[in-house]
Amino acid sequence: MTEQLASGDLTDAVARAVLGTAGVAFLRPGVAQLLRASRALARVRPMGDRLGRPPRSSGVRVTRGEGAEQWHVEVYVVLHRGHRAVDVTREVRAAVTAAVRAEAGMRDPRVSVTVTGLV
Amino acid sequence: MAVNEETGPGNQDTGPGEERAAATGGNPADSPAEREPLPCGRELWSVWERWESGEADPHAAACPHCTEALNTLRHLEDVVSAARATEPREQDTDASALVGRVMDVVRLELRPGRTLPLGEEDEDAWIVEAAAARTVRAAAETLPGVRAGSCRIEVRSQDTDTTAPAGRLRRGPVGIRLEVEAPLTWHLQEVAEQVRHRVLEAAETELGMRVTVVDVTITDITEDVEGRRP
Repeated sequence: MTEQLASGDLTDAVARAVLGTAGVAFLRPGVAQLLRASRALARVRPMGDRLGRPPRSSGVRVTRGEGAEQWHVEVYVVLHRGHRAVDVTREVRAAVTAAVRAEAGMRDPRVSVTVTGLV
Repeated sequence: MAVNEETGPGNQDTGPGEERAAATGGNPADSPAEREPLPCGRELWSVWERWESGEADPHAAACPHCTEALNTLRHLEDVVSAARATEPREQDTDASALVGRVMDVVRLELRPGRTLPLGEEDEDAWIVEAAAARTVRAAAETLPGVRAGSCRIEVRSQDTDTTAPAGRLRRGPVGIRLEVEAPLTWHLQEVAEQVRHRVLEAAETELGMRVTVVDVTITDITEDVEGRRP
């Protein structure tokens, strides 16, 4: 199935919603991406878009299947210890759902939240 | 310490809602999610591990890409150390603790293991096996003298009566297999029960992960003089 990536604005809005949730330390850092984006490696393999903006975190992906009404938001987060992981994922889902509704007027996106680490 | 050894096809699940097709035996670096080749073709995790082990690595020494990756790794450690030094409240604690935790996260990203369900059946929440296993091992090690080793966590087919919808991962309670070393001062049956209790408690209170079974294997008896029973 062909997927459509959402606009950068929507992705950024989702990222802000996730980062504003209590218990979230940061989005999946995309360490490999960061390393590749380091100055020396960037000379070999340019990163970012054609406007020279840096690559976004790999922690948020918003897609819509071709012809499908429902959007799929995938969130990858590192959480702070001391917060119950599943409770934080529920808060993240609520925040993302609200952000998608406010930013794009879409109701009830499918939101998958994956905890990739605890610090 | 083999945390994420794979047991066969279908267990290399690395993303919510998407089954990964690869099943590649025991090498975790063969998982698609863990292929992070540098421009020279070497895998990041491999370059880092060899550097950390102190093993001679002629390729990395001569390769500009590996050299830069290692320089960036050292820089990351320096940055975290500097950030750590600016937190006065924690200055009294082990200065390397934060560095260690951040580097753990880095490693988890490169070698996440399976993706496991969090919460109830109808939720869409997940946690990577390596992160869950870390919590499980830490829970076991709250017992005096107990040291946790290999920890494998998976959704067992016998514990779920439903099959996953097409293209999605299977949800259900998990089974945990944990290996521990315990001091001679413990009664083995008792330490196994205590480990099981601590693990179940941590899975519920720290993660929110449903667990059906915790298999504890005591792999060694140690003479740790500090391993006094509570």
